[in-house]
Amino acid sequence: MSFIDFQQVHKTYPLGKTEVHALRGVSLQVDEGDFVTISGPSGSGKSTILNMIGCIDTPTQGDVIIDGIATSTLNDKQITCLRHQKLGFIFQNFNLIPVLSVYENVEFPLLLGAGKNDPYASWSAQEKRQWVQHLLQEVGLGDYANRKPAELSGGQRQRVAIARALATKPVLVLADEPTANLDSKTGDQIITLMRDMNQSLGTTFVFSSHDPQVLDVADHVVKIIDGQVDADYRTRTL
Amino acid sequence: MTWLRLAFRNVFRQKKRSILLASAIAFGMLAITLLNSLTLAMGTAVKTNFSAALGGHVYISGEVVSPRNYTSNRINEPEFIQQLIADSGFDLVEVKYRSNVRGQVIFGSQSDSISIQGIDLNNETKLAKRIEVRRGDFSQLGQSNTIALPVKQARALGANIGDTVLVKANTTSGQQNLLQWQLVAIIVDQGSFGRSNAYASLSSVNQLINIETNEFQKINLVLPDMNQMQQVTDTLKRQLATLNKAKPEVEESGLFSGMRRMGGTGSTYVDNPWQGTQFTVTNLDDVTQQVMSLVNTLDWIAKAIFVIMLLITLVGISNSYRMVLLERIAEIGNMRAMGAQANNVFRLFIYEAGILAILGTSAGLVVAQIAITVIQELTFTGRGPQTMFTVAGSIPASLDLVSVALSSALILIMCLLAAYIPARNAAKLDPAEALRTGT
Repeated sequence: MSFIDFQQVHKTYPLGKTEVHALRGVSLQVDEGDFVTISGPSGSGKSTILNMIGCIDTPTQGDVIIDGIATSTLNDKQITCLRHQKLGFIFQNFNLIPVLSVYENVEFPLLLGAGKNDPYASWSAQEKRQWVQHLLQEVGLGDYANRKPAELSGGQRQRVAIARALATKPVLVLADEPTANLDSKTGDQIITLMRDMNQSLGTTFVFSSHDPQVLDVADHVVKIIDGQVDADYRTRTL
Repeated sequence: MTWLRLAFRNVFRQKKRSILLASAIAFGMLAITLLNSLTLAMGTAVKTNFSAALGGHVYISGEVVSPRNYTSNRINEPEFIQQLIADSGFDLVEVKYRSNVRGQVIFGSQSDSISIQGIDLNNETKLAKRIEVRRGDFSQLGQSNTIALPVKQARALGANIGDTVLVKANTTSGQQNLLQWQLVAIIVDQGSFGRSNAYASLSSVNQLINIETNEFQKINLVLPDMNQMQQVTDTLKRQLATLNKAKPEVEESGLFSGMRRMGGTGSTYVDNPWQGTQFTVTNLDDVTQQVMSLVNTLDWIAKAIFVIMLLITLVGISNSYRMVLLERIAEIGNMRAMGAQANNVFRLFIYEAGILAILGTSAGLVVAQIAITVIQELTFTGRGPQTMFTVAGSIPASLDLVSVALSSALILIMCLLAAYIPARNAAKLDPAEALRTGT
């Protein structure tokens, strides 16, 4: 069974007095450990698919199944727990909490409570501290732990966002156009970093991008045009 | 703890805005604390001054009728009233027997008008302690035909210890009397609204106003606890009424009506004379009732102003948090995406409002305490009615902890209420919508 399973998903948004059909019957599957790119032009529905996978949006029609659970059957509290336990997020605008330091931003998801099945549920404060420091080392920001986000470059902020997304050891990390606000060199570094994390930790990565170069590093490419799947193929097998 | 820490940092995120809001809260707290403290101080000063000036808490005065049907203020049945008080079994600190008259003190070519209190030094231990003797010996008032004069009057007259002064006053029947007394003490008495009394022995004053030497005009009862005042008053009134010795009460209003009732009606003609003494029992509350109602009115005006100020501040806080919500839409969406529950977001806003309220209230309290300390140090001079609001020339202002606690709790609750709707809206934000629209 696939880790992510979209079954004929439709999504309609109200826009003033009209409606926008963001998704028109999207079906796709993602396996655990995949490094998936969802590509397509602006307004094609990439972010909407990521929001559906991230359980922060719900389909108007069809089913989204994450790890065997149909998200439409969960209430707000259960969905929030699911996001916390299984998912990590990386945003185009980084969305770091400005009043927290780099270290505190990465630590933040660990402080939102833990379910009994969470990998960090039994960690001591010392173990949590070591894990956060390890993640910061991995993303190359070990010396920036006490800096505030405003003191970092765009690439450094996105590295913090990656470390934060991995803090709870999620099964799946979603990245919405993670390189869009970065120059090409820094963007390549970020993609490489995510790829390394995917391979070293076995975390599934799904990210949206309209950068053709990014497609080269993905295991699995889903092309979306006008809210429909235009192409869905694997570049290499897991 | 995470959310509290985050809330604390968020408060300082927009320093200018937070300082403005906290200042508004602080100003409200400062205003209400100062006003409460001052009205409480006024109340305390009024009671302290009246208690000191009148020499007790419960006052028994008497009136008798002359053969020509004119009343005079005196108690001509001293044994009866002394026995009644003794039989009542009250716990009393002091029982003072007093007569007093406003008279003219003459020395050489100088004269001055002054209130002369006739006292029995054996029953006036507290008074003897309160009086500051500048020259002479206050204890010599135990002898007849002696007088203690305040410094100011002694200076105006040019009189010194050992000098003989003439004392002129009206008797209880309205005739003039003139006696020679020896000046035995020059004193300072700060206990009577800044006005000073002269003191003489009870028997000397009785002689001056032409009543028997074993009589007196008033009995002042000093209680160990001011709260027993009403109970003692009611008991005495009931007992006197039962014995048909109570003077019928006449409804009277005005600032000093209580004092007039205590002092009697003076020499007036009555159609239906009575035998012996008719007694009137009053207490400190009766005397200060009118003044205290003025103080209470001021207190309520202060509270109304506080509530209006608080409401204006709260509208400001509520609007500020609406702006905060708009500014932090993406951040809230991000937190919700990471796994923060809706109630975490709600709590974050409520904590921020709570921290702001606590900071503002604390700042207001500190400034209020400084202001109160300054007020305590101020000295007021003069002899007008305003002296009833000062004790020994100072305003006895202090922090009223009960009203501070109530005001602080009210500010905290109102601030939380002001943040409630923005906090609820923040908690209800759809994460997808927040991430889509937020910047």
